[in-house]
Amino acid sequence: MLDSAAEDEALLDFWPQSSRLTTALGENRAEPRQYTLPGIKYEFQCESIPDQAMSNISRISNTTENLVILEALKNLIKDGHFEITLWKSSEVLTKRGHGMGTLGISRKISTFVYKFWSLRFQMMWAMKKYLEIADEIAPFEELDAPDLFYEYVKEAGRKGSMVPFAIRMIHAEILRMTPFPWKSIERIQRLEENIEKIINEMSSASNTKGFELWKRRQQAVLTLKLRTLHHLEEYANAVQVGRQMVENSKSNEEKAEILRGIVRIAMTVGDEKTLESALSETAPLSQKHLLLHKAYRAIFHGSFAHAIDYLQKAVDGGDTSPQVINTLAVCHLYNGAPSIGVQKLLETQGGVSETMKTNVISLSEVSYSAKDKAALLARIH
Amino acid sequence: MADLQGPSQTITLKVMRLARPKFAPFTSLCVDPEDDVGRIIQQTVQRKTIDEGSQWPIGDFILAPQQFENIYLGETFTFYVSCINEGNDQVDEVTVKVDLQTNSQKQPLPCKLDGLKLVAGESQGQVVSHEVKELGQHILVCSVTYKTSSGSSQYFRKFFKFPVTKPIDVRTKFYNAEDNLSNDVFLEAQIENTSGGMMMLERVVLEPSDFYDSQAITPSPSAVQLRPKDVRQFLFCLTPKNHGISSPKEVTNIGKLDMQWRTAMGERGRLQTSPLQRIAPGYGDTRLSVERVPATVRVRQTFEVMLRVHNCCDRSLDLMLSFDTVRQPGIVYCCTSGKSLGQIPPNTSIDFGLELLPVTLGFQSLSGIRIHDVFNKRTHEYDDIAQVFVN
Repeated sequence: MLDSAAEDEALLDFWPQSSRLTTALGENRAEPRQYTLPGIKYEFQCESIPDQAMSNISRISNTTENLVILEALKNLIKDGHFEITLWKSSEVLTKRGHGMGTLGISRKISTFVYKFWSLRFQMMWAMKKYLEIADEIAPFEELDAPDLFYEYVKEAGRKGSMVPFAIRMIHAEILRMTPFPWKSIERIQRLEENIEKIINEMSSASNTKGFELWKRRQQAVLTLKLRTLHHLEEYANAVQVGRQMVENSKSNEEKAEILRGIVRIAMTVGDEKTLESALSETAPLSQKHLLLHKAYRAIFHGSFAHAIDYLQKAVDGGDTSPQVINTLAVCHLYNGAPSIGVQKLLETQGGVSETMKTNVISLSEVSYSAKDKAALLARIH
Repeated sequence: MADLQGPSQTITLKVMRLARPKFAPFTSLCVDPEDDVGRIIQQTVQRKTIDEGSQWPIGDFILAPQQFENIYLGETFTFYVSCINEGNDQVDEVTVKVDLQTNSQKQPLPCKLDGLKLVAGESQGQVVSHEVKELGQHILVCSVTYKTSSGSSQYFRKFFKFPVTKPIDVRTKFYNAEDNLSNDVFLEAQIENTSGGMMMLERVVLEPSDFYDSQAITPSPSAVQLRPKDVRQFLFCLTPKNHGISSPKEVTNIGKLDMQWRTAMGERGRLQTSPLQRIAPGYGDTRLSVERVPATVRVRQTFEVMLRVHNCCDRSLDLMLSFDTVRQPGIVYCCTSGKSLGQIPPNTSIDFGLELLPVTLGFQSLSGIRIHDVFNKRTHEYDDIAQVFVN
C-alpha cells in the first residue's frame, strides 16, 4: 500500500495521453466537452437484508460524503453482502446522476463517481454478471476520451487518467465473455504498451516508487493476458505468458505460485513436458503445496496410489489445507475406497468448499446407502 | 442406460466411470494490486469459498467425475462398481459379474466382488479397467446375485450403454521414389484430432515391416498439440533393407503406424493402424538400377559405373546389352555393344560394369542403355539413369 496521499494518487493516476486527448487539447475550447456519458442499465434487488448490514446501509443512504459511502460499501463487501453492495452501488450512482435512463445525458463526472463505477464493475465480476458489465461499460468506449483525463477537465493541476486502473483491467478482460473474445487481447496489448511507456518514464526519472508500482500492475496485466489466452484455449501462449511472469517476478514465493499454475494448465491439456519442467523449477523456490503438485503429477500419470502417498506425506508434515484433503479424498475414490474419501472430506479443518461438497455428493453416491447419504448431505449443507 | 433393478431389491448397484478428475473451474476477479476494493473482494471470496484466492484461471481443487463423458478408441475405460445394502438386515453371497458387450463379442471383465457379506448400510466396490479396442456401441452388463436374510436368492441386472468413437483419423499417402538410384518409399500420414478436446500427440512412429528401415523426415517436437479438427502431417522415408528388390510383391507391406496421445489431465490413449499396404510399382519384365557411380569425373579420363539388372517376371530371361550412342553425345561408351548378359532366372539379378569416357564438361546424363529380351524380341530402353559432373 502507498502511504503518502497526493504524490501517491498522482502515481496511481499516471497514464499516457491518448491521441484523442492531444487533439482535443489542441482545440482550446473554453468549456470542456463531454464525451463519456455512462449510466446504469441494471437495477439489482436484494431479497433479504440481514441486521448486520443495516448500519452500513443507513450510512450510505444518509450521507453525501463520498469517502464515508465508499467505506460503508467496502464494509458490506468485507461482511460478504455482495448483493446488497451491488444494490447500493446503483443507489449511489443514481444519486450522482448516473441512474437508469441517464445514458448519454451530459453531466459533470467527478473522480469519486469513477471510483463507484469501479467498485460496481468489480462486484459484478465477482458475482459473474458479465453480460451486465459488458453493457454498462460500453459507453466508456476505449477509455481514451479526452474527458477521462485530468489534463482536459483541468482539475486542480492534476495529470493522468481519472479512470481507476481496475476499470481498465475489467474493460480489457470483459470482451472475452462476449462473442468477440479475441478483441480482449487487443485491449490487453494496448494496456501493456501504455504500461511499458510509464515504466520507461518512471525508470528514466529514477522514480523508484512509481517504477515498482507500475511493475506490479504490469504483472497483473500479464495475469489478465494469461487468463484470456487460457480462455481462448491458446494454452501454449498462456504458458509463455506465465514464463514471462516468472522472469519478471523477484519473489521466489510468487515465482513458485506461477509455476504451480503452469503445472495445472499443462495438466489440463495433457502436456507432460511442460508439467515436468515447471514442477522441477518449483521445487527449489518454495515447498508450499509442492507435495500437492507432485500428487497432481501422479494423478496425471494415472498413479493414484502414489498420489495418496504424496498427500499423506503432506498431511503428516502438517499441511491439512482443504486442497490437500480434497485431492486425497478424490484419490481414495480412484483407489477403490470412496467412503474413506468421504470421511477425509468431512474431517477437513476450516470448512468445506463448494467443490468439496460436490465431491462429498459424488463419492457418497457410490458408497453410502440412500438413508446414510441423506443424513450426510444434511450435515454438510 | 437401462435399469432392470426392481424397486424391491435390497442391494443397489452403482457404477461410476472414473475418467480423470478435473480441476474445478475458477473465474475470480483479476485485481489491480493497488486497489483496495479489489483486494477486499478477493479476500472475501476466498473466505467464503475456502479457496486460495488465486487469480489463476485454474484453481487447485479437483473434482471427481460428474458425468460419463466421451470415451474413445485406444483409451482405457475405468469404472468403479459397487453394491450397497439399502436394507436393514445383512445380505449374503453378494456376487457381481461384469461383462462388456460390443458389436462383435461379449467379454467378461475381472470383478472380485464375489461371495460378499454386507451388513445394513454397508457397501463394497471395486475399480475395473478395460482397454477399449473396438468402435461402436458398448453395453456394460452388470449382474448381481445375493441371498437375503430370509435365505431367498435374488438376481438383477443393470445395463450401461455407451458409444466408443474415433479419437483420431489417419489418412495415408505413398510416394514411390524408386528410380534407378534408390528404392525409397515415402509415407505421408495426416493425423486429425476427431475428439472433442485438446490432444497432445506424444508419439507417432512408423513400425516398418521386415523389408524396410524407417526414418521420420519431419522429426516432431516431443509432443504435438492438436485442437479438435486440427490435422498434423508426418512424413516417413522407408528404405528397403536389402537395397535390391528381389520380389516386389513382398514389399507391399510397409508397416504400422503407432500413435500415442494424452488428453485432459493426462488421460492416455494409444492406437496402431492395421498393416499399411501400398500398390507395388509395375517395373515390367526388367529393372535396371545403378549400384555405383561417381559424382564427379575428369574430362577425357575413363570411369566405371556398376549396374544391376533384375528379372522381375516369372520366367528366365535371355538378355543382351547394347548402346544407343546418339542419346549420349557427352559420354562415350568404351565397351562392347551387343554383349550377352546370359540367362537370368526369375526374381534374380546380375551385375555388370560399364567403362565410360566423358568428352564434354558439365553435368552429363547416362543414357542410351538398351537391354534386349532375345526370346520376346523386346527392347527395354534406359535413359537418364544417373548424372555425373564432368570437370
